[in-house]
Amino acid sequence: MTEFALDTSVGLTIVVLFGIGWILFGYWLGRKNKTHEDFALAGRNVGFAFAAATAMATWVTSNTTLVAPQLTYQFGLWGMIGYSFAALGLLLFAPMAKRIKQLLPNGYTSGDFVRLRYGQVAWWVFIIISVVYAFGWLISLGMAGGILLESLSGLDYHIGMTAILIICVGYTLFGGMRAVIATDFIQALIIIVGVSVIAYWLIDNVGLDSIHQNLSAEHPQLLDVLFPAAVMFLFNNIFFGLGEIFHSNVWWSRALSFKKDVAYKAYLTGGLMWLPIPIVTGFIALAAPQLGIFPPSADMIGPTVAAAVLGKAGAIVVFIVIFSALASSLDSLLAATSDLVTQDLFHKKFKPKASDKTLMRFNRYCILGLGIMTWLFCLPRIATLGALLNFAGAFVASTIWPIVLGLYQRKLSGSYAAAAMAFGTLSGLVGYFAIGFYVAALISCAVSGVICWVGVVNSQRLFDWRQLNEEN
Amino acid sequence: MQIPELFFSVLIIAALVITCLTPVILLALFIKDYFSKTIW
Amino acid sequence: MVKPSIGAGRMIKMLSLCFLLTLAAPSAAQSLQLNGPDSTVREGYFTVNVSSTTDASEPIASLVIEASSSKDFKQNLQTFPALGDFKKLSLTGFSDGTYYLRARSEDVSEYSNVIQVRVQHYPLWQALGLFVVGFLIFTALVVTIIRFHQKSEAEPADD
Repeated sequence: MTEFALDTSVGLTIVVLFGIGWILFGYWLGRKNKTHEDFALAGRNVGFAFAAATAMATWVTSNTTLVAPQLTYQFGLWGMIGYSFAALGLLLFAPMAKRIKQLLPNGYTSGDFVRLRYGQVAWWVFIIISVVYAFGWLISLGMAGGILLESLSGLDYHIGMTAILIICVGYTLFGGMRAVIATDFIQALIIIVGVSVIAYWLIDNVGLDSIHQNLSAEHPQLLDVLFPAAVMFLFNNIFFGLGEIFHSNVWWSRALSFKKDVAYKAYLTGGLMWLPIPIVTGFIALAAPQLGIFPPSADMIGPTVAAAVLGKAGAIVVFIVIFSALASSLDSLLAATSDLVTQDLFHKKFKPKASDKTLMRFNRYCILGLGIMTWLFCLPRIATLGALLNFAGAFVASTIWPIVLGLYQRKLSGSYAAAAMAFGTLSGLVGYFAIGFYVAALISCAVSGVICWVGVVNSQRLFDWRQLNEEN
Repeated sequence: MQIPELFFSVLIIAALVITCLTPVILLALFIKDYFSKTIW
Repeated sequence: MVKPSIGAGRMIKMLSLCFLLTLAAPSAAQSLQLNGPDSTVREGYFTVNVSSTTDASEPIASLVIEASSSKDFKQNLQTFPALGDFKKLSLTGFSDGTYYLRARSEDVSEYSNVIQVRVQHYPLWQALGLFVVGFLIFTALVVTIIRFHQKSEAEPADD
């Protein structure tokens, strides 16, 4: 039998080749960037193909490639079906993206909107939530990169983590949003082809019927329609996903960078394309018990099974797929978060008269700074991926109602929106610690929703939409 | 209650088929955008 | 067809590169210590880990966990091989009940200690209760977004 371990040198070669490729590509795309608007929002003129691909690829993260199999391994069939419902976030954001483009033709970030619509207090609450979430996600992606490279090729965690951060920071720094979106398109193709190949090989080698038979004989719980923990986690996971997308500047800056009339259909298409992916990646984990694979931690199950079934080629495919998935989210998050800092903090708070050139330079420094901070946080390898992300659910789910109502409803005032986000987050955190991770986002969304609707009923003033169209 | 094998197989195969169609759609859209010069 | 044993064997090679040079040296006094979850398991999955009394850094060759629903390991015996040189296993898919687990290895003649793991899933009413609450909030949200969207489409600039 052939030895199919992915040698450290092979892993490192892939990382270096991809790294050089992406950075050169980013540099090439970046030549077109003349203004800060070009750099941050790709000139607000992204076409349908790139728009749909970037919506999908950004949502395919370490979550989809590592945590979807993990949840399937733990919760069975419900794990993967429940995970695929996260596509609802993209689908429901589609009409909102259109609205955002209409209301803020000159806007840059989600923070812009909250500041103009709800005022300073709500803005501060929102920025805290955004920063906690963005850092949680950035760190979990950086750590996932390191863990992946280590578990597949034996490459030291710190080297792998550093490599993936340098690559993503590199091409985002040179190319800005254009590089992020264009690389997303290619990464989307790589991811989809990769996961399809793995799933097909698995079905061909092991067989769906034998997987089902083995599970129903040995682990019937995993096929149970009424798996209690899985049923409990379902809607919490949906609200988590909605909160992530609705509030995050990653998705707002995309909506703003798309061509007019593209935002709606791009998010809809991206969501529909994303929907089956967690099922395809999650399903891989269901073959594990039959193959006798019981990993030391559940988040390793996807790559482990794929590599076991497919041999060396499989290990390489898995490696490239997860590397692409991580990069496609990491770059987006770096770009969107640095836009938020540049636009909302630097431009609006400190240097309202900053020239376009200054903004562009500051934005680049931000990307670099964020990269370095993420790297520092990733050094100690703090928590497991899932735990870190569940915690953030309490934060982001509290923004769902304030954002939806803020975009469409003229009555809700800033103080109620701020209270909704603050108390929603707090009660979500209380739920997280007192009851369990499966209620954090649910409670947060419910409490914030109640406060918002009370606010709508009690508010006297009507917001004037024209205040959103701020001249820069 | 367990999920029957038929449902299980149909679910996975359907998900796989849709996933396989996605790159085709994306590339078709890209070619369309390319020729109508609406990529960016 | 891929046989389980082959899959596991391949994994040893793949995931244990960093340990590849270290070989397990059997020792006469060696015995295995198995540790599992302390409290009742509510989700049907848990991790167990094995330590060797002689040297914690040494790998344990062909580590296998056995689980059974009876103390004498005669009923519904299941075996779970460890991956590569890892001494930790993430096990999943257990239904309600009490399980007895022990570890064995090629190097060590005796079984490890037996641990008892109680699995009790959340009651269904609790799960369905949360499901219904979630469903209601979600429906309210979807209806809100769709109605707002339709309204804003009908009268674009102002509502």
